[in-house]
Amino acid sequence: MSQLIDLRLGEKRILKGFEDPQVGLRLLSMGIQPGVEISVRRSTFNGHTLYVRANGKTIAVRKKEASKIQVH
Amino acid sequence: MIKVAIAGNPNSGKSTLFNKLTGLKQRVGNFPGVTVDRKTAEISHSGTDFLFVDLPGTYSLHPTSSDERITSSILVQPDDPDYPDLVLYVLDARSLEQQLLFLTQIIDLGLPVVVAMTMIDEWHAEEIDIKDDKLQKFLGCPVRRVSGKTGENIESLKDTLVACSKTLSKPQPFYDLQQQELFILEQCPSSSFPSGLSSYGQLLTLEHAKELDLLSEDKLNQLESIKAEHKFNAIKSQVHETMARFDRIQPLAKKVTTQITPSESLSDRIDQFVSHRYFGPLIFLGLMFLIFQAIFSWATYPMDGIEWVFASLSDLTRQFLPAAWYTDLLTEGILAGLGGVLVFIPQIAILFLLLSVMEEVGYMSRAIYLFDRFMSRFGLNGRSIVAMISGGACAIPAIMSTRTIANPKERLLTIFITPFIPCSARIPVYIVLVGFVVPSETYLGPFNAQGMVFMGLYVFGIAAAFLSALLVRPFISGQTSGFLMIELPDYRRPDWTSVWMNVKTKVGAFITEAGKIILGISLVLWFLASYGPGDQMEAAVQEARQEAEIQNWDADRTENYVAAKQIEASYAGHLGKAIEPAIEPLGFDWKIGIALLTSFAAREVFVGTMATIYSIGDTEDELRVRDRMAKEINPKTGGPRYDRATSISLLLFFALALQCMSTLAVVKKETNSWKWPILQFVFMTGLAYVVSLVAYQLIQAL
Repeated sequence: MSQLIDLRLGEKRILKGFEDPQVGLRLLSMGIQPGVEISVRRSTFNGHTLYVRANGKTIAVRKKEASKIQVH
Repeated sequence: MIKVAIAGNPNSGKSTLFNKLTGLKQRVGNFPGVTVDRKTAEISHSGTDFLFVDLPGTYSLHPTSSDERITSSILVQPDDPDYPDLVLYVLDARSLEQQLLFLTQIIDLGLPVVVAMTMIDEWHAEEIDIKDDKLQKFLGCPVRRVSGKTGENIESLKDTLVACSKTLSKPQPFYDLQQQELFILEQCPSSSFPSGLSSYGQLLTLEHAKELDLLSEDKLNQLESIKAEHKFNAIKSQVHETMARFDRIQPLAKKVTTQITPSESLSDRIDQFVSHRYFGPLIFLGLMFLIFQAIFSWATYPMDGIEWVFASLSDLTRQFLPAAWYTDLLTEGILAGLGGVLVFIPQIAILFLLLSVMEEVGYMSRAIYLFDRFMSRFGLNGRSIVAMISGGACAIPAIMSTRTIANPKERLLTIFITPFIPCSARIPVYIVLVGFVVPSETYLGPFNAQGMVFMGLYVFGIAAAFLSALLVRPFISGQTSGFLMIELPDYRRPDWTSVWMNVKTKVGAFITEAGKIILGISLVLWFLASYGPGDQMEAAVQEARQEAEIQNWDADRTENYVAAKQIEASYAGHLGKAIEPAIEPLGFDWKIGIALLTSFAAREVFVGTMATIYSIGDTEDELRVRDRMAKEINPKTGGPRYDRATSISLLLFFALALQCMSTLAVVKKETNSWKWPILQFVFMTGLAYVVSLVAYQLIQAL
């Protein structure tokens, strides 16, 4: 099982699902649903906050949240 | 009067469209219970009167933030004063799928909808186009393209609103409720839900009644027990509903959009620098530095102008009115107090102008992205940075800007520590005192030593703010927010109307909130400094005039000497002497005591008070005051009164103490209780006392 935090910078995967319903609901309503392409474009010092691109949108997520996002 | 709610996702061009529709007729108020801006406007078109209410940007009616809770609670309560007759949905077609989620939810509430597609100027760059009529047919509601930027098609949109207001026809529901959802609704007595609510509206009420405070306690308990009895899993239901909607939306979006080309957008290229892990924070600090430079250089002229206006008014008043107590009240009390408030407007206006532009352009979310980790270590939020920077001009609008911080604990902590950030009122005090710590022509390498001490004081204030956050954090109840998950919108050109309205609101808040208090306290202090017990003041004036005669001083010098003796004999003077024993260990005497007391109205009053006490008359010129202070001798030591130890101690006191009644008043208003401003005052002033004490004693000992 891969999570978003396991991805290398720039690596593109397909979003599989969410391990935390609150994370899921928020991201779903932002238009980031299972089946879309997702990648981590860059991150802050020490990788604590991630700059994520998915489905044409850009969002900032914390490492903790990223560990709950499953990818294929 | 037709009520139109303007709804849409955040960053969809909603505010821009609102501005274009309503011009400057908008009014800014509050949503009850939460301090989020409520923008409304009334306009007329073709004989129909409309009331527009701008609802907070929302991704979905299943709320995940306080903004979204407002929107949801309004749209599921037909009895709510803001419940609309018609919804104007703002759609950014560049992310059609996501934006359609909320729209289909609103349709399912049984509300008539008109869709306005914005950002059309950007379609060409993204190489997409939308088939309006197909979309209109799928949704069952009118769809109109508009340009929020150029105003293209706004009139046509208004015509559509008028037409729709006459029929108020509702589109077909979009989502079919599942078996278990219909079942659970049937189990609830019909009285549980307000009348006029669609099935979907009832489902939302069932799922969110508790967090949105929709029902009375017994109805709520009843619903909760029905849910428990039938093991109804609300979250599972919400997830299923959302995914079911997207299942229908996705193919629809494809049919309606032609040729989407994903592009390495301009925003991404800009972010390569701006959001870079090392350069990003550096760029941010650089921008902050530039902002401060801009504030201090651009603001000087208007500030001088305002000071000149009030000085002239004061002179004129003295010319036309006889020398009586009410003339003094008018000039030294009211005019001086008013002038002291209004003189800060240029700095505040410039700061908020620049901050608004940064927000409008989309940069602020990048700043939050870069500093979220750092800030949350202190129990603060990425948005706290905005408040802390604003605090560099004035804590009052800074504290008001914390309304955008959703989490109550993070917001309270931010409010608590913001006054540590050196505000513009501390600067005149610093200018006077820095000269005593470091002589002006010294250089440390290529750097001017005074400039460095100045910067050091800024760093000191910022450090004090963060350290206090750590100290105070355990004492505030509640949890800091678990989630970030914010959108970083594409960079865009700022909407100048929004910027202007923001500046106007912030400056207005400063004038009304701070202005009232500073004026009030100025009057009190004027009274304390102009009147004394019994006839001690008259006696002092007599003595002073006699002394002046003996010494054969000219008129000016005499008046200044008289003024100094007057303030000694006044209530303020007595208070100063009374606290002298308490402040002596800090290296202060009773004259400094008086100035400390008067500075509690507003810090910059320190300079004027010093001028009066040291008989230089009515001046605000820091350098003159400083020169005079330098000559003052400490009777106990025979050396200068303002030696290095006393000056450092005084500087530290001003850096840390909460000497601004207006700040306390605003904190009370924003936190709705006296507890926090009082705690803040005790904490900061107590800290100032201790630090000054330690500093003075240490430096003396060395």
